[in-house]
Amino acid sequence: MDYGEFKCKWIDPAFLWNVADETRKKYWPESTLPVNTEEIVEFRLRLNIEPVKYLLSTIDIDAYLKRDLSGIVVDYDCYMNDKFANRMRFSFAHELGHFFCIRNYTRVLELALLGTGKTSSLMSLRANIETLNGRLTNLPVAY
Amino acid sequence: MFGEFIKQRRIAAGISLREFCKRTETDASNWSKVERRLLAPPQDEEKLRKIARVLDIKIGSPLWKELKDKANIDAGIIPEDMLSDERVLNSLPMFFRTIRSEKPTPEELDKLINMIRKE
Repeated sequence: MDYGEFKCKWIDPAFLWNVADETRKKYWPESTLPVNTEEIVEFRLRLNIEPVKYLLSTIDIDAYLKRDLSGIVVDYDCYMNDKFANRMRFSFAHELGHFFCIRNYTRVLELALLGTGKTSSLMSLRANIETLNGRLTNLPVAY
Repeated sequence: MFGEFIKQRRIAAGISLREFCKRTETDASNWSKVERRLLAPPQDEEKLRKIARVLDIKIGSPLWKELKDKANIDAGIIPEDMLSDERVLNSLPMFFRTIRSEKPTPEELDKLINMIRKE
């Protein structure tokens, strides 16, 4: 795949607001503030949280969603230090945005991976999506 | 085995990875790997007791024994109480062969017959 030719699909911001509202209603029905995004990640979606040391200081990011959608990698110091709780809450929310958008574009991802010959990544992605879909379907009604 | 066991109980108790690691004084980066079976579980008795306390597992209960056994098995270690019993220890090769569906040798069969007769 020639990444130079990749064109990002235009998504109407109104549509995104709607998705965000629906997601919040579904996964944070308490509607209290602040939204505990860490709880959504770990307890409601059952994604792994993988703290990695020096992530922020070496590559200047404090969190990213894993390509196989199995979890979120976070900077160890930001994650463990209560001083950065607000920043982490935002980071989790940001990665959840990727998660919910990407889940709807798995076919695109599969095709991209097919082109690279990365069979194990492709299989891992498919397996994780199946697991995640199962978890999302099996969530209690309140969620 | 051990990792999934702990994670399941931790999540059921509503304890986040961060909170769990703070309370057990464990490195969260390493612990996340233990839960994903990328690192061997701790073997230190005091550490395992601390983990049990945080997860509300009573020391000495069947769950506590399961926790310890799973920590041993994941690290490829035969539990200590098994090692201290010579009879159990001597029977282990036969047990391993049985679960691998390998037939015992005539000598081992004789040994087994003798053992049964002595009972």
